[in-house]
Amino acid sequence: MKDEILLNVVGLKVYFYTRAGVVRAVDGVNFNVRQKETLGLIGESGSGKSVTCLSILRIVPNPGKIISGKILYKGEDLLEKDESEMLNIRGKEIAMIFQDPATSLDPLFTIGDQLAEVIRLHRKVDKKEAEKLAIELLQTVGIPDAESKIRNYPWELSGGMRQRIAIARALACKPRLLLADEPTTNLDVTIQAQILDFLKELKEKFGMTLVLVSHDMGVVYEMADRVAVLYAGRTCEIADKNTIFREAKHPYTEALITSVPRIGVRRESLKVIPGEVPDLVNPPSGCRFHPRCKYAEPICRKEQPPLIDLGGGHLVACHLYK
Amino acid sequence: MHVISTSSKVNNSEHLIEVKGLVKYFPVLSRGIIRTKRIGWVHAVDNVSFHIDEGETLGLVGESGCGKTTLARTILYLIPPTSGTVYFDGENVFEVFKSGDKSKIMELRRKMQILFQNPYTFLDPRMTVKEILSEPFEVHGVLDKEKITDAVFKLLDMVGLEPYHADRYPHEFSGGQRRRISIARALALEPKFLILDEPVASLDMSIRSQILKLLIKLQQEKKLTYLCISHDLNSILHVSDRVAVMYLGKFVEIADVETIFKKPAHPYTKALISAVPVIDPKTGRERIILQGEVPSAINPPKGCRFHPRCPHTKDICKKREPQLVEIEKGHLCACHLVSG
Amino acid sequence: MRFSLFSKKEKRQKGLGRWELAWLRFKENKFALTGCFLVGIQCFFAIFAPIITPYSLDSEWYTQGLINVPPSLEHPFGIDKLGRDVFTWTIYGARTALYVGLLSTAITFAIALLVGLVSGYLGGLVDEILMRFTDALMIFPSYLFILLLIKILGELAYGFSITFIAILIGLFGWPGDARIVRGQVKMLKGMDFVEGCIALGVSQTRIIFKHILPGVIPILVVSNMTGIGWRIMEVASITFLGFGDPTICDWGAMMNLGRDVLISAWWQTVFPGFFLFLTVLGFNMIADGLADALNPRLVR
Repeated sequence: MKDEILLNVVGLKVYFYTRAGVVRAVDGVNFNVRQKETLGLIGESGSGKSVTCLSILRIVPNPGKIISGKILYKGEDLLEKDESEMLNIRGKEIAMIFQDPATSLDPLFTIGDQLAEVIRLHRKVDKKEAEKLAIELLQTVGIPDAESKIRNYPWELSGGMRQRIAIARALACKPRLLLADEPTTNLDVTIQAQILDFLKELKEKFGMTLVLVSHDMGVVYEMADRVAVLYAGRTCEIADKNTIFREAKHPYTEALITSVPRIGVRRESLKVIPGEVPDLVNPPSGCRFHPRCKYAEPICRKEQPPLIDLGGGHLVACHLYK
Repeated sequence: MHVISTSSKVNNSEHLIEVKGLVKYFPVLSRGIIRTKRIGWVHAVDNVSFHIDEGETLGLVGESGCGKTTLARTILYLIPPTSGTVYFDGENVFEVFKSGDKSKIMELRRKMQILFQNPYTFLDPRMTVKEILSEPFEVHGVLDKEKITDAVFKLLDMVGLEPYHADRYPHEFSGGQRRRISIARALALEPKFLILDEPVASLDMSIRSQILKLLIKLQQEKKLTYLCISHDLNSILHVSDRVAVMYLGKFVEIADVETIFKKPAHPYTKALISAVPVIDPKTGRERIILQGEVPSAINPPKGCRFHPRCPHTKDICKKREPQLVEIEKGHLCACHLVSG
Repeated sequence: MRFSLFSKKEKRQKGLGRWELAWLRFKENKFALTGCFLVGIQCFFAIFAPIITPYSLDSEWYTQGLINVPPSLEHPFGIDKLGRDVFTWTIYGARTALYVGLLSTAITFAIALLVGLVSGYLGGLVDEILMRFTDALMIFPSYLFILLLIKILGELAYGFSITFIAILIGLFGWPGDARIVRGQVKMLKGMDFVEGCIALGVSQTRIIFKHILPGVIPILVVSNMTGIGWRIMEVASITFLGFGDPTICDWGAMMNLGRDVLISAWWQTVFPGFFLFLTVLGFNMIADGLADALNPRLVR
C-alpha cells in the first residue's frame, strides 16, 4: 500500500535546558511520511530538523528533553516505548546516517568490525558469518575490493567512501525507514552526486522510506517526493515537491526559494531575506518568521498560526491563509 | 590550433593581476628520531597562469584538494611560492616581499586583501569589534587616533551593522554578522584586490544572499577586483564574470560565466556542472557521474591528470599533458579531445 | 508591516566580554568560592600574624621547662617540643607557605611562558631543541636532585634556605606548563586570524603580544594556580624530610620536629598539617573554578 502512512510526527516539542536558558529547539513540528516515499525536510540552522530526527530514534542528547507530542511509527507511539523496545527499533526498523562521515564512524575499530557489530546486534549469526555479510554489504554499496577493505580503519578512506560505509552500516539490517541528516553536505559536489544517485538506487532496491534532511534545496528537489519546510522549530509548509518549488504559499518558503543563488538565475533577481535566524532562547512571539516577513500583520506577532490543510495534501501555517 | 599564453609583458600589462607559471609544492616529510627526510612532494599548485582585469570577478572552482586555497595564499605571499611570478598593477609581488623593503611591502598589503573561509576563527575572540577594526589603521599609521573611531563607525555602517556593535565580542554575533565584520576589516584600508575564500560557506541559506549582495554592492561602489574561490558552484556562478576550473593543481578551463555554464568544454567541467543539484523541472540534462575519487596530489596521474576518471579517455591522454589552449575567444581549455 | 529586527533590550545592552562572563561563572561556582575563602584566610593570617598571635616567634617556654604541653586557653594549639607556642608558629607559617608558593610559581610562570612562546611560535629547529630539553627535564628525577643539592650545599644553604628551596622547585617545575603553552601557541598561530593579521601587514611582535599572548595567559594562570598548591606541598615535604634549616617557621619543618612525638604530643604536627591541607585544597579549588570559568566556548 503505497499511500499508507509509516511515520507520523504530531505536535513534537523538544527543549534543551541549558545554562543560557531554555532552548526551544523543536516547538510544534508536524509531518508524516508515507510508505516508500522520500520526504525532504528543509530548514536552516536552528530549524529543529536534526533534533526531530534524533527524537524519532529517541537519542536526543542531554540537556534535551522531549516535552510533548507523538511520534507514531506503524501506528505505535515511539515516545511511549521503553528503552528495550527502542533498542529493537534502532538499526532494525529505523536507521540514521549523519552529516559528518568522519565522526560517525569510530576511528578505533576497523570498518569490518563496526559492520559486524551492527549485524550481530540484530541477527543471530556468528563472527565468520557476520564478516561474510559485511563484505556483501560493502559490495552492495559499491566499495571496490571489499575483502581487503574490511580491515581498513575509517581514517584510511576518503569522505565519499566513509559515507557509503555509514550508509552500509545503517542498512545492515534492512530497516524500513532511513533518516538521513545532511548526508552529503560535507562532500564534494561530484561525490555528492554519486551518493545521492546511490541512495536512490538503494531506495528502489530495498523499498525503503527515506527522510532526507538538508539545507540545500537543490538536493531536496532532486530526491524528494514531498517536502516539509521547518523554521525555528516549527513547521511552515508541507506539500509535494512541485507545489513547494513552484507555488509555495508560505512567505518563508517563497523567500527562501528566491534568495538562494542558483545556476542560471540572474544576479539582479536574487532576493534578500533581511534579519537573522532567530534566537531559540527568546524566539519571536506569535509566528516566528514575522520580524523578517514582508507580509506581516499585527496578528502575526500575537498568535501562532495553525497548520491548515489547503487541499491536496498542501499544508501551510500562516495567517494569510485562513 | 596555436597556443596563446595568457600572460603579457612585464610591467605594462593591462591586467591588474597577472599570474605566470605559479608553482607550489609542499614537501612530504618522514619523521625519524634524529632526522626528517623528504620523501615526496605534494603538487598543490602546478604551473598555473591566468590574469584578472580591474573591476572584474574571477571565480575559481574546484573540489577539495585541487589547490585553490593554496593558490590564494601563495598569490598574497602568505605562503612562499616554489616558483613563478605574480604581477599586481605592474609590480612583481614576490620580488617586493623578498626584498624586505618595508614601505613597499606594507603598500602591497594594503592593496591586496583576503577574506578567510571560517568566520568563526577569522576574528580574534579576545578583541572587541572596535579593536579588530581599528587594527588595520593602527598598523599602517594612516589615521590619527581621534579619527580612528569615526572610521570604525563608518566601516560598520558600510557592512550593515550598527555603532553599538563596536563594543561587542565576536562570539556574540551570528555567522553572517561575523562575516560582515571580516569584510569591514578587509576593506578598511581601501584595497584594490580582494580574494574571497569561500565567502558564504557555513552560512545559512537565507543569509547567503545578504552577504553576496553586499559583496557585489561594495565591488561596484569601490571598484574592487575579486578572486572568488569556492566549491559551491551556485554562489560562484552568481558573482563571477569569468570562471576558472581547477583540478589537482592545474587549471583545466577558463571562460566567462555564461559559457562555463551553458557550453562547458572540458569533461571535468561538464561533470561538475551536471553534478550540481538544480531546481528545474525542465532540465532533462544528463547527469555525468564520475567514477572514483580525486587522486592524491602527491603522485598525480601521468599525462592528463583527469584521465583516470574521464569518460572519454584516449591513449594520448595517458601519455601527454594537455596545455591550456584558447579554443574560442576568451575560452581556454586543457583537453586533447577539445583542442584536437 | 515591518517589525524591528533588534529588540529594545538588545540595543541597550552592552556586550558581555569574555572576562565578565568568566567572572560571572566563577562567582556562581560554590567550589571556587570556598577555595577563595580558604586561601583568603591564609592570606589574612599571613598579613595580620603579629596582631592575631598573642606571642611572638621568639617567645619560648623551654627555659621554664614547659615542653609538649597540650592545648590550653593560653596556648590554644599547645606547646611543641622546643617550647614554642604552636599557635603562633602555625599562623606565621602561613607567611612562609604563601611566600614559597608565590616565588616558585613566579619562576615557573616566567620560564614556561618564555619557552612555550618561543618554541611554539618559531617552530622548526628551535622548537625541536627546546622540546627535547623540556622532555629531558621532565624525565629527570628533579625531586631527588633537589634533595641532593640541598644536602651538598647544606652549609651554604643555611640562612636563606627556604628561598633556595623555593627557587629550585621553580627552576625544575616548568616543563609541564611549557608544553601547555607551546600547544596553545601553536593552536592560536594556526588560526585564521593570525594569517589575517599577516595579510594586513601586522608585525610579528604585535601578533605575539596582542593576539597570542592574551590567549595563552589564561591557560597558564589556571595551570599555575594548581601549581601553587602543589609547590607549597613540595617544599613542605622537603622540609618535612628534614632538609633545609629546621628552625625556620615552616609547616613542614614543624611537622618534622613533631614526628617522634606524634602520638603523645600530636598538636604540634596536626595543626600545621591541617593548615597545610587547607591551603593546598584552597588553591586547587580556585584552580578548578578558574578552569571552568575561563573555558573558552564559542557561543554560536
